Amino acid sequence: MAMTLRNGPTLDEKKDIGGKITDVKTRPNTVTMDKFPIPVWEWSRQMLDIAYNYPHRVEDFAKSFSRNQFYAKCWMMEVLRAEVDFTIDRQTRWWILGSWYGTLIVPLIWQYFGTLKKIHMCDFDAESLEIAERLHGKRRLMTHNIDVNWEFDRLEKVKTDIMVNTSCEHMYPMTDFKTDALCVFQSTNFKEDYAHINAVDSLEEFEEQCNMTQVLWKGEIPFHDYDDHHKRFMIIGYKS
Amino acid sequence: MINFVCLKWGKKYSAEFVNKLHGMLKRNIKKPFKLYCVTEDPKNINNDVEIIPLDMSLGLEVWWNKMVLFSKDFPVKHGMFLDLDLIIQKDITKMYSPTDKMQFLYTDWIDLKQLKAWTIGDNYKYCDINSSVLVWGEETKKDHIWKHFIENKEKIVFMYKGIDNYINHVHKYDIFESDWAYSYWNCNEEYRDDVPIILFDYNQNKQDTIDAEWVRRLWQ
Repeated sequence: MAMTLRNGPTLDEKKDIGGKITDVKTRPNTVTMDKFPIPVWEWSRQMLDIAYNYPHRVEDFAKSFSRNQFYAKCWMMEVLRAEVDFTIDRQTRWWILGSWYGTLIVPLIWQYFGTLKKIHMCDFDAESLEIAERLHGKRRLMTHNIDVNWEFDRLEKVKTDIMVNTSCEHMYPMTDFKTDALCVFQSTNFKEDYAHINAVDSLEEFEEQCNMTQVLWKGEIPFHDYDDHHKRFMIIGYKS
Repeated sequence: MINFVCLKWGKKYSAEFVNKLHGMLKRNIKKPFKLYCVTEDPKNINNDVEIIPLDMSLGLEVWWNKMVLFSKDFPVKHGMFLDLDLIIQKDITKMYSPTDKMQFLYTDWIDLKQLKAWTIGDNYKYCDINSSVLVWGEETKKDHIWKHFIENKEKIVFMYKGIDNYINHVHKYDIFESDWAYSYWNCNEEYRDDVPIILFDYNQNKQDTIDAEWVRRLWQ
């Protein structure tokens, strides 16, 4: 008997809408299209894929490329490339904690650094990883369905160059997490969201929580367009 | 002999809740039984109820005190835990059928599909078990849960809003097979006479605030 997905078709009925971001290089673009850092037109078919195969996920997926998310992820890439580490290249290994769908961060890493290594995505939410594989293709991704909060020991053994966590507000403080990798952590003071179990009050508090031995960069940006007291914080540095 | 256990901590519940729980058990349980109450304040609790002093040195608050049930040192080695905010209206003896894992209620009285959808992106809030009723036996493996809790107490209290969410996400458990209970506040505040246990969870108002004939008749 076919397994029924929540609010959706059975696995047997799942339809491959196609159109992965990785496919973009195989088709010709116009000059204007080439100027887009991410081939956003590919998302048209990805949205259809989600609407058809994961209708209960449409809203959540749409949130994953809101202006807020674009701002945060682009900010991270720009700072990393221009101000922090000039050694990041195609051989750099990336692990993303709390990766969600990787909607923006995965194509941005490809775009900015052209990594040849598989990007490792860790999330507690198995379905978001399943969708991530459909979006980006399995060839250049390695997904790990783990609860980061309970896997510090395992993650500390990972050999990677960069450990990204742009969801610190959703997790237990990374204070005691140990790694030799370059850490790129983001959080926020937006406490109104119930999912933010670990929102911090300030960049200083976040820095203390990150417990880095060497901070290479830190800063903040507005969290919203509609108010000026909610911020997103970022700390980049080493914990060893 | 079936052992029943309840927990009274702080000022949330008076001794009246414990005494009335004993009364409901007396009317509905056909086998010999004993009711134990884990509490730091045994004042006004009937002498029929055996008191287990609550270890305040653990520094636990509210519902987290229920975790002591998982310790191998908990004095009642086999039994059934009952929250105080519930009404028993039928014989629940058959619920007592311990397995190698602690048994929880399955919260199928709420729309779990909808809950799953609501908690996308906020997974820790999803929970489909309820610890208002628990059953364990001599063979039930539960001490590892207690150890994990004690070792990670700060993290657990930080991340999870209660025991149910914590166990649901981190440990293995069993669920009761039949529909033994429903949640009054989650089921349109309707009285159902066919379900053995009525829960008054998810709300600060408990059964003592409901002015209805069936409450007066059953909760005594």
